[in-house]
Amino acid sequence: MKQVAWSVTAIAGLLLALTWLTIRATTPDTERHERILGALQTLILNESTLHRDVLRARDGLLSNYDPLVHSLKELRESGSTIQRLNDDADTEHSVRDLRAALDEQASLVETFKSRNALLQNSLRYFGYAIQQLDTDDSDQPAAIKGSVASEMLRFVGSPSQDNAASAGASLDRMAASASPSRQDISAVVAHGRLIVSTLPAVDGSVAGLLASPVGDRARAVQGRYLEQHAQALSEANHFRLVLYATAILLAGSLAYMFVRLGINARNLRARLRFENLIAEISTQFIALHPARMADGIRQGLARLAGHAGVDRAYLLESSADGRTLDRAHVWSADNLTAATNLDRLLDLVACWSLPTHQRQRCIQVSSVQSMPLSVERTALAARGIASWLCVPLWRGERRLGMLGFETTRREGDRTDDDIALFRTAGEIFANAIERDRTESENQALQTQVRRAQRLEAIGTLTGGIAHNFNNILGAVLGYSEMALGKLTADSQPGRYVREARQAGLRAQSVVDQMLTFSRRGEHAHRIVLMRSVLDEAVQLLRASLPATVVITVSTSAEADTAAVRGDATQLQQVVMNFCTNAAHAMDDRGTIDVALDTADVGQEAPLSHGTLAKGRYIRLTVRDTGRGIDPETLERIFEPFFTTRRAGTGLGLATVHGIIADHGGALNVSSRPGFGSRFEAYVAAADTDVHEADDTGAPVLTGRGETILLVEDDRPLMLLGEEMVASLGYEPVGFQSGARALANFQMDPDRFDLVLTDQVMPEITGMELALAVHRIRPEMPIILVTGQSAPLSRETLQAADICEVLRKPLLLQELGDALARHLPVRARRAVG
Amino acid sequence: MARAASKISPPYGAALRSLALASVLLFGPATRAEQVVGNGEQRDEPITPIPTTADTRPDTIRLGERLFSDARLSRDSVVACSACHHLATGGDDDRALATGLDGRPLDFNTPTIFNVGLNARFDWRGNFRSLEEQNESALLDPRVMHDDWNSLLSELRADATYREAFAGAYGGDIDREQVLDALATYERSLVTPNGRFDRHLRGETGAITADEERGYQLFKSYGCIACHQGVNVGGNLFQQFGIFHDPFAGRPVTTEADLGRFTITGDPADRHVFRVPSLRNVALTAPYFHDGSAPTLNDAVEIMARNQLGRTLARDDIGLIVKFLNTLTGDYQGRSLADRTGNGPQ
Repeated sequence: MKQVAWSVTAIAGLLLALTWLTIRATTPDTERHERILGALQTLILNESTLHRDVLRARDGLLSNYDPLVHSLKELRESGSTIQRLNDDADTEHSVRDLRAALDEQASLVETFKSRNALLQNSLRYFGYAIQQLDTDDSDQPAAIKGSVASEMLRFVGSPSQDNAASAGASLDRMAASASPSRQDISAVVAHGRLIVSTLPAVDGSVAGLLASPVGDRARAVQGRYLEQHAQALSEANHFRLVLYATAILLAGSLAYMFVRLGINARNLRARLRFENLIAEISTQFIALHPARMADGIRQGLARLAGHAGVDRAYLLESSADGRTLDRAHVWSADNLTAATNLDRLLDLVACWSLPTHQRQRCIQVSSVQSMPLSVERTALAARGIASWLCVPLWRGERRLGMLGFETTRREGDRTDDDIALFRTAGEIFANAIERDRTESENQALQTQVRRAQRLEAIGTLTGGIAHNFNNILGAVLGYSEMALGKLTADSQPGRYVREARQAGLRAQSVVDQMLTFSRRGEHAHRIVLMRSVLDEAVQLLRASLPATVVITVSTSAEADTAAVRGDATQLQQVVMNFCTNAAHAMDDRGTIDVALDTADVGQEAPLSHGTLAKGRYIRLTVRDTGRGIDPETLERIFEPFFTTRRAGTGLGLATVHGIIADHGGALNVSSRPGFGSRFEAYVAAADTDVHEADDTGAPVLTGRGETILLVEDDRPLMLLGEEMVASLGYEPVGFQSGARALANFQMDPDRFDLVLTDQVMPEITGMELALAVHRIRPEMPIILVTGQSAPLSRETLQAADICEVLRKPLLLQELGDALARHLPVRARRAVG
Repeated sequence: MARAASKISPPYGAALRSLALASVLLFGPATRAEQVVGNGEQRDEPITPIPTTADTRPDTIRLGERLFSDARLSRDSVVACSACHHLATGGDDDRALATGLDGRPLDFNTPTIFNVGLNARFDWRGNFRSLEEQNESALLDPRVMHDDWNSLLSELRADATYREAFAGAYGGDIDREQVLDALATYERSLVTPNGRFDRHLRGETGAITADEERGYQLFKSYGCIACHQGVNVGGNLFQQFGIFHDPFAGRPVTTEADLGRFTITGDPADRHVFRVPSLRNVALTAPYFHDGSAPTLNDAVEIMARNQLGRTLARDDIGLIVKFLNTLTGDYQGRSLADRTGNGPQ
């Protein structure tokens, strides 16, 4: 609207200016000027005519005064015409003077006519009358007549005052000499006197007329007018020139506008084509099946590149940080290799430092060569390109990646409109990528939910089964014990029952793990320093795994002091299970990377198995370079009884799942078959970090050299146990078999202050050993170590007089506490 | 030539037009002289015939004629112009002195309206240079017509026929200039060409008798021709009345009118100076002189010869001159004024 008003004002101004110029360019009042000049000409010519006619009339050659009257009338009319038409103040004075001269001239002419009429008449009559006198017989003396005639002749020939006086005198003489009755003589005298008196006056009038300033004044006025006219003409010509120049200027601007119009129309058409192309690409993306997204993107790039006339086009998808290349889609004309070094571009764009090339959040480099020396120039020059356009792809404030367009030889700028269209295209690509990503995430989420639901269902089922089995097993074991009490150990039935009981115990161990998976176990959660849990587990693993397996541990500074609320034993088991599996996957040969760090989850994050709520987590990562897991297997690895190993129970990872779920965490597994797997366990971090002096901290050295009988059928574990006991200040005596331990005990029962035995052993179970020991020394404290999650029945424990049951794996702290709990009384007593 | 010039750019056109005008002016008199000798017989006479020209503005002339005879041009619609200027006779009123609106005589004898346009000046004292001035003066003069423009124009405007006639002639509302122009145009059309003497001048043999020819020669040789010359046989200069003798001498009373032009200019040299009257149709305009003091032409010729020429003419000569003067009676509307009035040549 404002523009319209402006245009109207401009056009009106232009019209006004043109009108003004046109008015100035026309010769000012040409007709009036010509009429004045014509009147002046008429005036000058009539004055000449008047002079001529006056002279003719004076000499009697003009017999009537009509020509004089006519000339006077013309002069007068010309004068008034000039005065009427003249509007110039400068000339007005001259014109007034002219008119005054004309009036004076007119009155002179009137006087001349009147007197000349008399004079001419008298001259004619005088000549005639003198002649008559001569011929008539007269008394008039001839001398007088001759004198009058000659005097008058002289006077008329030269009308001086002297001649006038002598002519007058001779006339007087004639009058005096003649009788009054002679009328002819008196007439001659009268006419002679009239001649004498009138002739000088007539000549005076003629002289006055000839000296009249009319002609000069008229010529002066004429000169002035001509001058003014010439000036006006030149001025008009000047303005005509200006008008002409303006016309040429207007024609030029018109031509310019036409050209501009043409260019604009062409640009509009190009823009329309571009917009149509973008719309087509957009439509194509909408209809595109997610699986064919990459193809679609590449086709879109090809069409965009074809339209924009570039040699290469690529779309780089970045990972979450926006700088790392996740995926690249590349199109290039004549298959120029463009895919090199694309990963560096994202970083380059993120750190772009040349604002002159930034337009509409895009980067337009018209000519790489003319860029200032900079990192950017070096990077682009390294790509061997001439021009570059980069359209960063955004989702909100998050970088999704970028679109890049390169020419290898041609340089060229792009208009803002073009760049805006490229941005629109970029948005379409960004939308497509975003949609693609969202769809894969949704798919992952669905998979995960499915997994979780299945695990949940299996967990419920497993828990129910395990519970029932546990009760049944309780009866089986109880009756087995009782039967064993009635039977001789060496007898065949005794041996059978013992075997049956042994199997029952194994079953109980399985049930225990099932319960752990289904989270039916009851565990007191305490603040646990994750670092120490890991360290102990790794220590155990190094002892138990073959030397061909190397375990590397890295811990971030934050994770070093990070604590979780949970069960240390269970968490240790997670590490153990992960690592054991890793070793298996690598066929006991290779390096297992174990890492501990913290992760802040800003918003609910889906993982491969489970979902992390918002919060701070401690992340345990175990990475191997083993055979990897195929997707089908990956789908089910946390299900109980699912195993790929012939000897496996299928409960290891299921247990891990149960433990992590119990700790409010989640699991994330990724694997590339043939390259290895990566297991991540997220456990919610405790609110406060735990430092030294915590009760879960380094165990206190409690022992005073008391001798501990240690029984463990697994040799590495037995050695580990010995080490731990020793480190607590006790004297360990370890055996790999219950029978040998019992034999040793029987030899010197007082040597030992406490028995620490594994429950599950091939020959004699821990419980059997305990019964045997108590038969020799009933007060002997016995601590049972078991891998089972469910506690042994209270009756059984009481029957065997077991002080405490410790869970495998043994933790130094727990062990120390337990030893200290059961030893001091004796120690004091011993001291005492 | 002017037409061709109009196609050329203005400055040159102007120059050419001036040139054309100059040539007309330079050779104008010569052209007039050629007209005079149209029939091939050269007569370089001081008197020239009245040109016979066609009326160029018939509408305006008709309108002027109507105004001329319309009494509404005087106060209370008492008299028209034609009341004093009888077109049926000599264009005057046959009285010694003109009659005013109130019936009392005015100062001067009524001059003829015929050929008035050929005069250089108007009225006895020559105090008007144009007919328009003279007409307006007569219209507004309290003693003559005593009208005023407001009432005159409103009267004319009230008349639909006048409105139509003025619209046809001029267009627009009736105004003073239009009324004066119509009257003057009409009056200028009142010419009496083709008098016998004019025909004689044009070379027509037998147009005048031998006596009349002799009268003309006497007219010239006595010197009357000194003042009475030109196309109008006078009317183109001033002259003092009484050169050799004082015509007012012995008169019991001299009027202000007798002072002539002096009453206008105040110049002592203008005392008793009058405009020389035209002698066209002079046979029809008795009595003569500014005060109508000469009842017959013979009287007038005799007085003029004595006072102006210092000559006493013989009775026969006066008779011949008067015969000549009778040949100056021309035609009005195609008929000789002499026939209309029944006054044949004497």
